Amino acid sequence: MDESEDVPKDFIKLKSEKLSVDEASELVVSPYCGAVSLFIGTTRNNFEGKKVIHLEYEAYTSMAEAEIKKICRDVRQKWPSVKHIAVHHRLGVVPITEASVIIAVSSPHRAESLEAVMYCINTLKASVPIWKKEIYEDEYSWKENKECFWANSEK
Amino acid sequence: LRSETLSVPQQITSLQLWEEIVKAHPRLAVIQDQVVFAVRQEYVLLGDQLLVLQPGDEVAIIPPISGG
Repeated sequence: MDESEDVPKDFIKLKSEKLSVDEASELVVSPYCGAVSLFIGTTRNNFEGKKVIHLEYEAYTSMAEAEIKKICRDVRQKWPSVKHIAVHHRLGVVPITEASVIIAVSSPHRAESLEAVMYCINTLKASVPIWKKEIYEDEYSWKENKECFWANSEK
Repeated sequence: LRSETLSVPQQITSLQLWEEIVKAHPRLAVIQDQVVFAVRQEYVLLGDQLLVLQPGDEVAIIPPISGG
């Protein structure tokens, strides 16, 4: 057995090119794992009755990567059997129905990778400094996640 | 304006730091309740937390996020 297969790896990428589910799965697949779980966040074409033309994402890139690394570290504390984690987030323009984020996690059995994927996306939405702008026909809007831990939405 | 260099006391609370920034950019005052800082890429709420800053430290103003 190749010893390097045992080392759990985190694959974090913020990029403006189209994301690939195949690429994310292939990064986390492992002969030691019977499960690969995936989440794909795609862009919807409407918000409150307005037609969304496309989305644009910006990031505070160095801190976003650091925060995603923290999420991976937390995942491994909570689910020690998790093997590999891939978090790919697209930046710049994302057309409707294309993926803005892909999260892939491998583990020996399915429960851990399924739970870890959900934890990753929920925590990403609460803490990773990435911003989404929805472009409508006549206007645009910078969005705010309800998970954001400091936003005061009563104001 | 994306970034600029400011001189502030080395030890300062996060709220005092915000007030220094608003002196330079008064239009920012209206977003005070919506933002946090990231000091050396760690989140800091605007309040009494005492910061010890070094020359060249990066402080970012972070509006509500919407990743994912």
